Amino acid sequence: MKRLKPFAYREPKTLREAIRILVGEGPRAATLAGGTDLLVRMKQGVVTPSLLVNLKRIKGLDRIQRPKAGGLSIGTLSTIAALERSALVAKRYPVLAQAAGFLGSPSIRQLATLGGNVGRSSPAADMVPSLVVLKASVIAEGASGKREIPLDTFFKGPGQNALAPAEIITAIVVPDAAPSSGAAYVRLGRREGMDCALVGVAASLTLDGAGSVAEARLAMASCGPVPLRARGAEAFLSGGGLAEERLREAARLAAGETSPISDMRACADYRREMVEVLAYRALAAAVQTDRKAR
Amino acid sequence: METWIGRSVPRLDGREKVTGQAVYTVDVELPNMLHAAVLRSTRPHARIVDLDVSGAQSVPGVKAVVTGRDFPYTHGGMIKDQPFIAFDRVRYVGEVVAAVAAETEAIAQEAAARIRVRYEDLAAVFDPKEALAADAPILHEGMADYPHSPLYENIPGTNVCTIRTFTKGDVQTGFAEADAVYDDEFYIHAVAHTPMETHAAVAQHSPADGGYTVWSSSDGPHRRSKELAEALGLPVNKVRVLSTYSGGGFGGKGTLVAEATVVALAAFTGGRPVKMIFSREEELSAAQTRHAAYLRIKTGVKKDGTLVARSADLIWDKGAYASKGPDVTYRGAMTIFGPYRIPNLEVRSRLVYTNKQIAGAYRGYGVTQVTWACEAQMDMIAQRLGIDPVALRLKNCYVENDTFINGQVMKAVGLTETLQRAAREIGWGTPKAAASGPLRRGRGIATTLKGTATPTESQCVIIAAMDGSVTLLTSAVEVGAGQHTALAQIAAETIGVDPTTINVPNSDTFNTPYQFGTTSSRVTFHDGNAVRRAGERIRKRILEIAGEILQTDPGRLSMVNGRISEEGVGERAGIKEVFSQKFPRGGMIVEHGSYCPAGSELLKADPGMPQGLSSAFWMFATHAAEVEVDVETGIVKVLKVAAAHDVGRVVNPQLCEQQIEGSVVMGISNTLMEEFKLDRGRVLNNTLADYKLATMMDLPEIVAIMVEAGHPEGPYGAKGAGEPAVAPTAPAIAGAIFDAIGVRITDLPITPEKIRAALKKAPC
Repeated sequence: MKRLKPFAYREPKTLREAIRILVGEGPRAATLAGGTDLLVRMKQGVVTPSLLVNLKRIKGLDRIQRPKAGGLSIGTLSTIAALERSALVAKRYPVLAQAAGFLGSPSIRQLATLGGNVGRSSPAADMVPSLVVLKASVIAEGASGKREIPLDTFFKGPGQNALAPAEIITAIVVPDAAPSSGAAYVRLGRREGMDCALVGVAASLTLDGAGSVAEARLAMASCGPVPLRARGAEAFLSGGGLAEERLREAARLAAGETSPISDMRACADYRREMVEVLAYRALAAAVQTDRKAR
Repeated sequence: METWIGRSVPRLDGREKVTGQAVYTVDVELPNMLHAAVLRSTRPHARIVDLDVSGAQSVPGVKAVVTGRDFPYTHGGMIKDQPFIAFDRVRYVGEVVAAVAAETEAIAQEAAARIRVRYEDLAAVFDPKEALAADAPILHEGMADYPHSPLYENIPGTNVCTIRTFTKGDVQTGFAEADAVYDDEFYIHAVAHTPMETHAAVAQHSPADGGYTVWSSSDGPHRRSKELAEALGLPVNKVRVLSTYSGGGFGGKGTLVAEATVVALAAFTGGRPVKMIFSREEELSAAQTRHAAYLRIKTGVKKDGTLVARSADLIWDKGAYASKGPDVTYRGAMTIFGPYRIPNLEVRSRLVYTNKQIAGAYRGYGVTQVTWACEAQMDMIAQRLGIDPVALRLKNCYVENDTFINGQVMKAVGLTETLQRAAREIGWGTPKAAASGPLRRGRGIATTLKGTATPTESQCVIIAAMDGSVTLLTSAVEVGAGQHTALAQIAAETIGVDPTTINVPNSDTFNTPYQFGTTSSRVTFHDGNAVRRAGERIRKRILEIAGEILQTDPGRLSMVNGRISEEGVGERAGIKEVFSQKFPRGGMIVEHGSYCPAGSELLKADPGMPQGLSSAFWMFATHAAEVEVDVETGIVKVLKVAAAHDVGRVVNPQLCEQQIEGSVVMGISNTLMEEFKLDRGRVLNNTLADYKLATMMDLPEIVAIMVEAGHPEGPYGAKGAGEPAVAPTAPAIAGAIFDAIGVRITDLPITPEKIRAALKKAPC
């Protein structure tokens, strides 16, 4: 069995203490939440942190709640399983519960956290496309205070994001969805569970009073170095109706906006082709969820 | 009417396993035990120019660092071509270059990482067809000198590890008589065995007598003992192999793997035992695989579907060392004709070295590979001739008393019934659900036959202790299929006791008698016969003792569930009371049983034909699959598999059903998901995240159907199960895909990308 390289380990009780420890240790420190990704990469020797700062002893970071101002605040330590079964999420943002059901396996979802899935900043992250179409933001806290970073601008490259050194994600916040809107996430893997998304597409559609698209958002996993928006397809959809050929044309446009890679999981051409298939299915499903909601 | 045969007796090892008490090799802990780690080759083919182990030796806690020069032995049960540790040369990425034994596994790993190697790269070859080219780099220049059985003919100066041919009748005449001749090529890929318990072993050397003790979950403890003894120049009685429970093998634990490394290390640790456990990454890149193969078959057929001739040219991808390849590919080659009557036959089979992970035995022993080609082509022939695929098979398939290719008269042939029942269960010929959106439904069917290694021997000892309790000493390994339970049922039936009271300890080559191995689906038949023979003797002696104690004629006594009855009188006593009176100061009765079909009339082949192709029994299986293909994504979902298996008399229906279900899962997994991604021989996907196995979420409805063509020489009519179960799954799925979308995939695995590419060429 592969053994972990030695590392130091701390369990701060407060956020402030955690930030202080991170600042003190510098860039070789890593924050630990569910550990479903970090520990695997440590075993593989891809990362070799000198110190692990376990955030799970900090109280209150795992709450899923509706702030007075509206929307939803999901604490960074909320597990994917908690999102999957939260009544609040199911009622207001069913697409998030749906996406949660795709991530890993039931046992992984029991450990893995939303903060971890976002903070790892993998282009294949299953929670991210849905959060992007829901206009979510990251709440981050560091030595110089607290700030809100729109998810749209959070990702900088594979495994890279806008967090400053020693900054911790404390929550993901999602604004209230517009009335008359729907969203859906569809994804493709080689098997039904325990699989990294070959391609994932989330779509949200908001309609105006006349039934035309007031706003469309499409976000895609595993299609480029960061979770991508299909802005051309979104612009095309805006102001128009929901006829099948329009959705298909938008899906075609979305595929053209991707820059997938060929790797051992799939080749780039297949991925691009699947973006088109999945974008259409996501849009069609978003229309359905909207109809159901009304 | 039997009491225990045909009943789903709960597994004897069930309680121990579900409570975590069962000891597997990975659980073995011994006093003063050291832990091993190895440095593996990063080069597919290279000379070791310099090997500096001083960095490893200087790590505190390191007890021994061993290289091929320190331990210059080679092993190989069929061809002795494999060094325990690479000797000046590496032939695949992952080959052991040096090994370390240390106080902890972490220290051993740390030390192994400090070994410095300088390589001089040699040209490497990764595809067996390329390895056949005249200018291909040669892996084993000294091949002709390797000790090997005369059965395994090689071609010196090439990469052809073995070449075998077979001819019967005249294929040219056959093709000339045929109405149509079809020539198709298929490819089947390498896959991993992925046992839950990775390869592991513990070895201890005795500096006093030079012997070794090895703890292993290998499927053939006596054969491993023999292979080690032969390799090291020791008598077999100095090489003790102790079996633990095995966390799955599927053929991958049928040669020396982790055992070789720990034995080499143990020679240098002053008697301290050494343990090695493969990481999952090692399991997936440096253990063993299924042989990949190019399978070209040419079949001549009459308009009405009668098969008249078949020729085949098979090229098998050996990887770097022989392992069990010579026999796997021979058995496979001789089954390329399928379970069909074809008068004119010809095959050439070449096993070709390549600079890749070693291929070994894999569930089905070559038959899985050839069944892919044989059955896929049967479907293609059916389609070209406009004949129903089931009808084409029924027209040509073996029935009772047909002769195998060497003339052996086949008994207990339940093939037709497997075809009929699998077809009926899947709804063959009835309407399918209509296409819905991008989804298309289809059905496919495939059949197979599998023999067992013949002739092979199994022995056992049965003890009735002083209190009448029964122990069965067998070297059959409980690899997870319920072998010990099935044998206990046969013992219980024969003796007249309750099987759940029988003790079946794990084996020890110094204390449990020889048996060939828990391989080739042979245990129930061979070991079952040995157990039955020993059991009959024990029963006779128990009744003699009872007669003596109860002062009556033993001929009037019988025993069921340990209760002894006298004819016309009724129950007289329990075995326990009788034995306590017989052995007031202790004692036991011991009987031996053995079985080997050598010389049996049932094996008789035609004069001049290879007698070795006869099988003690033949197993038949048909799988029918229904799938749903998403034409937009190329994703295939298997909805249902009906798996009908002629296993002879069923000893334990639940265990048999589990064998069949497990095989279907394995078949779906390796047909649709599993695949090694290689870069110049290096496995890129050496984790279970990237080496995709089917999960519970991918499983269809599986209907296991047991067809019971009782065998005249089997214990209570039993044959075997296990191996044939995986073979027909791939061609059944491929046939169902064709039925759904009109696309024929001839190279495994069947991936969504291949389906999409094929659909673009021929849109449905």
